[in-house]
Amino acid sequence: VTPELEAKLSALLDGELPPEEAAALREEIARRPELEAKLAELSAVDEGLRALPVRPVPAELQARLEERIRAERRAQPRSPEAGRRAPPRAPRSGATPGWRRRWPAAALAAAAVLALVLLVQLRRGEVQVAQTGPAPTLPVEPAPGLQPLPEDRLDPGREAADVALAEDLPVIEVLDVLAELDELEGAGSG
Amino acid sequence: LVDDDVRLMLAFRDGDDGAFDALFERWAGRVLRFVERMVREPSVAEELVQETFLRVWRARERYQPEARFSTWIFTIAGNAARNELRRPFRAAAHDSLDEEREGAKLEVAADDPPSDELVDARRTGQGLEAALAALPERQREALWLRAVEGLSYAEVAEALDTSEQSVKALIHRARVTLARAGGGTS
Repeated sequence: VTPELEAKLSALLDGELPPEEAAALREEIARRPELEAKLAELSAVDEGLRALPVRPVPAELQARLEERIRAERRAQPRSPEAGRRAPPRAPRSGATPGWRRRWPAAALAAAAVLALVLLVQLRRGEVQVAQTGPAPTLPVEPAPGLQPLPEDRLDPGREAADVALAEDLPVIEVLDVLAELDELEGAGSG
Repeated sequence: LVDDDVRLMLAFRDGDDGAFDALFERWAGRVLRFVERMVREPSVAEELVQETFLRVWRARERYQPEARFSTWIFTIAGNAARNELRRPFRAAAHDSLDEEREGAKLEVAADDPPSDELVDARRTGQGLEAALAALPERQREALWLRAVEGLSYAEVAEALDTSEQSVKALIHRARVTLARAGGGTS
């Protein structure tokens, strides 16, 4: 049996020969016992493969697959389909939450107020130490070149007004106000 | 092209998770016995079954019924198995069965002496299973898909990404080799 004829027998076995060629080969097989034997030999290979033992699918295999799928679901971004089911809320203005947008301005205002209060107290010649209960005041000598503020600058009402003013002003404006105060004091003492 | 399994896959694509479970029930065993013959390690074969169905799961949204489901899933499983066999530590062990050697066997005549692997298979009595394992990878895959899974040459060609003529030659050579090794008599 030539390799070419053997290849045809293999294709015949698979039903892959054109009808006319298959019919002609079957006639030849009927005339030649060695071809019939070869065809049987090749066919036995296929039967043997189909008869190989089959191992059952392990019971835990599907559970392991489901676990991997759950992990993928968790890792995957939401699909457009999922997006349609539960559309995400659009941010009201920009992507940053309101408290994140406001806190730097609040922190700047607080820092400016603190700076203003400390400056006022330094000009009074006192430094207040923060603690519970009535805060004792420590007398300190004014820094060289600084004179105690006039009594009207020690008015608590005035001080509160300064704080209120500072809360509403940006830092640059607060600094301008402080510079203006210095100029006034310089003019008053001179 | 719309067989029962394609319908299940379409149902899964459209959101029916139960259809995916049904596909697993119907196909996990066949995929397992196929990849087991490809990689010859039961634990690795089980991993490949998971990998195959995971790829089916990932492909659900873009699935189009362009082929029988069997062709599609064996294409996926075959690719996963070949990737596994290409991993460096496996490639060394697989060296004796690589494609170059397979190419050299194109001219092997039916009365050539059998390979060392096949002689060993006969001597140790491992029979058809061992002879199958000793086949070059593509011959083994092509013959299995045709003889056991019933894919046509065209479908095997699609699964192996080759021509029908190549598939015809691969299957023929595999059959002749196994027949010489004892075929289905073991």
